[in-house]
Amino acid sequence: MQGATLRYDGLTKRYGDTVAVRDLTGDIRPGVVTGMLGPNGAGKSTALKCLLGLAAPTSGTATIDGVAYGAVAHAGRRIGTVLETRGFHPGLSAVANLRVIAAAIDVDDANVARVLEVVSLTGDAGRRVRGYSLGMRQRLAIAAGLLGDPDTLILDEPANGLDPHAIVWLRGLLRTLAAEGRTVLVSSHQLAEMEQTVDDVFIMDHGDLRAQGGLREVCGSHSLEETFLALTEGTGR
Amino acid sequence: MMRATLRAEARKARYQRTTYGIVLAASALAAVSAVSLIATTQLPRRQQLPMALTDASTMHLVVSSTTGGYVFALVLGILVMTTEFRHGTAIATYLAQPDRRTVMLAKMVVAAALGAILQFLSTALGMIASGLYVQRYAHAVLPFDAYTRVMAGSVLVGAVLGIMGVAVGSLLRNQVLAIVVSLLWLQLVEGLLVVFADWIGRWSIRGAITSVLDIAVQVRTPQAAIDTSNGLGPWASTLLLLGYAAVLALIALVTSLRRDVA
Ligand SMILES: Nc1ncnc2c1ncn2[C@@H]1O[C@H](COP(=O)(O)OP(=O)(O)OP(=O)(O)O)[C@@H](O)[C@H]1O
Ligand SMILES: [Mg+2]
Repeated sequence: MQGATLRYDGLTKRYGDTVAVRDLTGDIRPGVVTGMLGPNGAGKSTALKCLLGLAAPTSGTATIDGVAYGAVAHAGRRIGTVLETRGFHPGLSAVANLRVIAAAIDVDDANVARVLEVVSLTGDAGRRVRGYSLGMRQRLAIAAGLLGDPDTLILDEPANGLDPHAIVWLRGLLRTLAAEGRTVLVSSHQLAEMEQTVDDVFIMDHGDLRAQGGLREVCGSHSLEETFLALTEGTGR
Repeated sequence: MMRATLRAEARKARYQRTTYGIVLAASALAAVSAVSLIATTQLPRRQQLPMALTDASTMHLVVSSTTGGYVFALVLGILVMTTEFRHGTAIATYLAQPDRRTVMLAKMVVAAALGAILQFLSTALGMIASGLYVQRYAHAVLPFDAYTRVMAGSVLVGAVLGIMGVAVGSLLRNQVLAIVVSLLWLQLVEGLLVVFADWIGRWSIRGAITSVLDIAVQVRTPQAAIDTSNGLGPWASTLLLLGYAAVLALIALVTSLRRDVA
């Protein structure tokens, strides 16, 4: 399995007067886990959404193997995504929600049971999503991201709402997927967790890229948290 | 990939309870309006109007009143689009099918089918209910020749309004707003506009719908002068409605559907 190379080339995204991402340039390689880190409002989600064609760049490009998301053949199957804003129909069960997505990305319905098993939701799969806890919803979102057995995964704060067991499980999952040659791009605030998960990092703040490269190369002898706090000022108090 | 998008859209409609609720509501409306129309012809006050169960045009009106569920076909079409924005499932839809025109087209196809099915079921139920109810009046004459024509018009209107609903829903992504605006437009605004200028009736959506449904009413009595025919005929009226849908869809494609979805 060979994941895609993701590339930002001078990506800028403005919302009115707010510059969410400013002149972002960098590559995300297959076979490793890349962490997109930064304080609230740093532009992480925006950078991921531009890659997925959900938000149009103001200037510059975000490409997958050299082309825009919309030009990737079978993008829905090849690129697995977990986004915080991605919703599910509350009146439908997890199974029904996933069957809709399975039809949309043109994969066999057998995959629905497979991914529910992977995220340990099999027992609750028939319940309506309305009654799901935050963590269950998040696991469903991860299941949806895995539905097409994608070679490239883009995950925005996938650990949100997960309990410690699930976080450890997720770490193993991401490491395994990367070890298989897939591309894994993940955003997170949980620095201690990220330190154990990622190989490469992008550290953003106020839309700017503050550091980029291999984890040890960026952090040196410091912890990821120390490096992060030194490089970013965040939203202040 | 159009096939996959179509299958996904069909599943959404099938899995959601709302779909069945709306079909049920349309059926109830069709049955109740046809039955109550029969009942009102028996009111003393009404007998001054040329409405009697022995009168062919009255009975035609009864049969035509079984088509009233069409508003629900429009609502279904609106829901096909706006539910996605309401629950944030639009993201999954556009990730699976990045070409937003394909998504819109698939939604229109599914909404057309839903609208046609809804109209077929509700009209059939209305026809059966009124057909049974009218049995109590031995002198009533059922206009059997009208049934097929009314049913054909009903199904066609259901399909066209489903398509229009998708177009309206893409333009006004807010579910409640889209439904309220389109119902106000249909039930109120057009009616008021016609008062100001007769020719508007000719190009109105309501006028076109009544024309396709073959329920244009022409009543001239000392009390009332009603003429709801738009004079375009059913086929031209269908094209007119599809034309409106196309214009709305085009505006949506170059405006709201260009917007970021997340
Ligand atoms: N749809 C939008 N409309 C207006 N402004 C937006 C929109 N999306 C993001 N922004 C702004 O862009 C900036 C970056 O937001 P973004 O969501 O990318 O940050 P983030 O790094 O993901 O933050 P968090 O850690 O809180 O998720 C913020 O200032 C935000 O207010
Ligand atoms: Mg974010």
